[in-house]
Amino acid sequence: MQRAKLSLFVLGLLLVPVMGFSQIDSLLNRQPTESLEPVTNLNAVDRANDAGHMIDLSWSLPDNASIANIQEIRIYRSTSPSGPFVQIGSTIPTATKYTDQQDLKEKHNVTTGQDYYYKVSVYNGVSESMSAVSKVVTPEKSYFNWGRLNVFIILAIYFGLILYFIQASRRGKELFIRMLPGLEALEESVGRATEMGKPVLYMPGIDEANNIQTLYSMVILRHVTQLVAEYETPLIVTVGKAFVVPLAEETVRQGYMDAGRPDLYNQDIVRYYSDEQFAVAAAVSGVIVREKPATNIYLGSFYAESLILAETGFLTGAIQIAGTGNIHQLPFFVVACDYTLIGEEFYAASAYLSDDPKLIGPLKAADWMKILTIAFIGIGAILETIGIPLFSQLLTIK
Amino acid sequence: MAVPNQQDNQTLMQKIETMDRRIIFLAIAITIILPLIFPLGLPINVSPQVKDFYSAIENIPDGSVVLFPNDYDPASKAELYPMTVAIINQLFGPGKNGEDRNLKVIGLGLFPAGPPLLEKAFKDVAQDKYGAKYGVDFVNLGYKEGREIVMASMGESIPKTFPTDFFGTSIDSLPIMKGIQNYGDIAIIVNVSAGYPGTKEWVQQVVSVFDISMVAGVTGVSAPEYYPYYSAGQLQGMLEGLKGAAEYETIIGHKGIATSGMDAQSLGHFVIVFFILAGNVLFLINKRHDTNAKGGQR
Amino acid sequence: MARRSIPTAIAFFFGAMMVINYFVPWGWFSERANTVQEWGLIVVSFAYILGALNVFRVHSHKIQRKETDWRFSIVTIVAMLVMLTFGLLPQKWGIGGMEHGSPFLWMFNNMYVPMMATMYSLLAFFIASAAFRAFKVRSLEATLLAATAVVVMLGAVPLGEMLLPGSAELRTWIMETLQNVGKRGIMIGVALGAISTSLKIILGIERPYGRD
Repeated sequence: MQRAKLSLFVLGLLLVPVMGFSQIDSLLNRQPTESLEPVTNLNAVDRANDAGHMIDLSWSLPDNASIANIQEIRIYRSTSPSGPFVQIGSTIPTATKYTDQQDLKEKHNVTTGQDYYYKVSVYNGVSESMSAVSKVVTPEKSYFNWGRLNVFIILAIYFGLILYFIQASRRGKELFIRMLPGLEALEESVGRATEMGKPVLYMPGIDEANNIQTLYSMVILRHVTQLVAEYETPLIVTVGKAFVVPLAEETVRQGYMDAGRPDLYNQDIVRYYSDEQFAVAAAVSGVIVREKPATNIYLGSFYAESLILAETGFLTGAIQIAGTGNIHQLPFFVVACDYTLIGEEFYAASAYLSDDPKLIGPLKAADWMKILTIAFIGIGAILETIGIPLFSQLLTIK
Repeated sequence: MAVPNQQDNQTLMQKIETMDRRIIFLAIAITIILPLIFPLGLPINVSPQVKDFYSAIENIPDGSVVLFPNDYDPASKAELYPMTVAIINQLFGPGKNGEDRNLKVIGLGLFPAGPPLLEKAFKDVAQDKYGAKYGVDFVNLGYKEGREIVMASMGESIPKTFPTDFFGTSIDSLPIMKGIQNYGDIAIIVNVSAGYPGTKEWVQQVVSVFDISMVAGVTGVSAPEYYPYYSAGQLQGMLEGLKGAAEYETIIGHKGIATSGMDAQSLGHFVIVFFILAGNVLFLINKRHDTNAKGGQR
Repeated sequence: MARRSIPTAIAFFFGAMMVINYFVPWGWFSERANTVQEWGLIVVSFAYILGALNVFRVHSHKIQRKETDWRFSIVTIVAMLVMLTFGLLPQKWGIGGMEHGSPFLWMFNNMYVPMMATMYSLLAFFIASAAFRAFKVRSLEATLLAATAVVVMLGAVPLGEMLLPGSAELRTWIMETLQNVGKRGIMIGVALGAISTSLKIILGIERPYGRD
């Protein structure tokens, strides 16, 4: 028994230094922790041309950012360079920018005219390393977004021209509009539908009511409704957005009333199928094949379904008039339709059909703006070519 | 007087010129189906805009956050889903050094029917192939109505614009969204778009305003609209239709649906070119016949 | 007079506010503009109910009067109601929700997705028939158009690049330079037309709303 105890004692004596040595060894060979360096070049600037509630921060990450196991970058703010600094937010470890902006719901203010100082820290879960304090930044309110002055001037010129030509037209000045075959053919095509005893199909595009093309199509729909009312031709209006349904129903009802034929209106004239593009295309193609309208009018915002509709209409032998501001669909309409209103010809429809001076004036204004644009392009191209970027600088929107 | 044989041939030519369109449809169908069953294995050359697309993603720092809006619906799936799959392969695949790039991917969609397609791609590729974890390595924020308003709103706060993800989970509980505030935290936008709202709106509302990098994959028919943005540098790279997707699959080394579809598309284009040329030959023959017939009648 | 003036005044007020908001960064304007945009989203959401009622009404009338192909109207209404029901049912009932394995997602993946893709694929057939019909060399311009179409189509695919070397580069030049020129010209015209139309609507010169 005593020998066993002695053996254990000796074993213990031997183990202690071994364990001790291993501890010392691990102490000597332990890797030092990477020091957490702060971000540098912290810059705080007031956002230009805003309401005075935004400050943009930017900084450079430390060189050892990737191996320092940064978990997040914290943003601190104070109204005095000596503090106290309060954390206002955090962002991801690889970020080099942050925007301090007012959020009334979160009760976070960025007050106009108040001096602010910022610090940014890197945090690795154990320790935090703070940057130097930024220079003072004072958010200021702008009363006008000077970065958009060029847009304002161009719009002011355009509006001025519109008002001038409306007045000129009212005073009796003759304003020439060239013939638009698509619009000339509108009455003739409605007449053709009447002779054949077939309906007229009108589709105001498949876009939302807030799209200017859809809104404008309603104006033309009213004209077309007056036409079909005069000839007592059946009308089908197919709509691709639920929100356009009440708009189209009201427009058609008003068109029949304008023509003095409210008795011809019924709610089934306006047909909504789906908000989904190809569901509408399938449904309208079905209408075209089943009911075989003699005239198809596509005026509005169209997308990929344009060729499906136009080609289906062509195969049924209908006269087709199309117009859209969506440029990539124009080739399909040109190929498959009898008449296509290209680009701004679509927006000329109401003026052309009504001959109203108030509507013709803006057309002439647009013509003059195009002349100005051509001049700008010509002069600007020459200047750019010879190394004077004046026009590109003037026309940049900030 | 016209020779009877010539009259018969020319009449036949006129008949062919006005033949039933279903014959053309049948020819297209056969031409597209056959290469899918018997692949030709045509070589694919990678165009500069696809190389730029690849490089733009490859050059973002490891650990970056990528915004991945997939703005399309099932109608455009044939052209754009292969791009989505290939992009996920590049994002979650090994980097230049063969190591995990640890990129964080935030997916969303501005078409209502888009997020389920994205979810399928995430599950099949990111999760099942690369072992990425939902909520840690990637997230699907789902669909939000509002189009440009959503884009502008994300410039203020992404968590406020999308308080929950596609499955209704609060994004505050998802590790990937920790510290993500707005576009300032995003390294690059990788947009796959079928039209509106899509690439043009992202460029106008986000790239121009927030000065952030962006690449886009678009349908073939809408690609011409975006060339000005690529030329101007607002898009760092572009994939154009199924061909762009096939070129991209080639450059990332993962041949998929797009590559197998290129044989069918090649032959399909050839048939259409054949019909254009044949239509013109018939047109000229018939025109000559009509001229001769009129001359004979004087 | 009120019928005409009130809608015009509302259109002017909100239209002018949105335009001013673009140039004047006052919080007052931007907050109200954001609020109006949110109102728009809410109204659009309610419009879906109107749309569904319109579908139901139109197709019910077709069924009642047994118009041409009235049976398809039954399919339309049944399909609408089925998708709506499964989409609205809560997931905890076992058959609702949109998770993997739910009936709604099954119908989406196996019915909706193939149908949408099929409709889009019709474009390939229609483009072929339209090209056969339309690209005829009737004039110099039409000849140039047909030739350009041939080059662009061949340059778009690997087989074309093999058969017509350089077609890919030529195609890229045509797409990036040549067609952009014409496109930008049309875009400028469209933008000017849209601006003048918007101004006409804001000022009440054109009124796609209200009554005379």
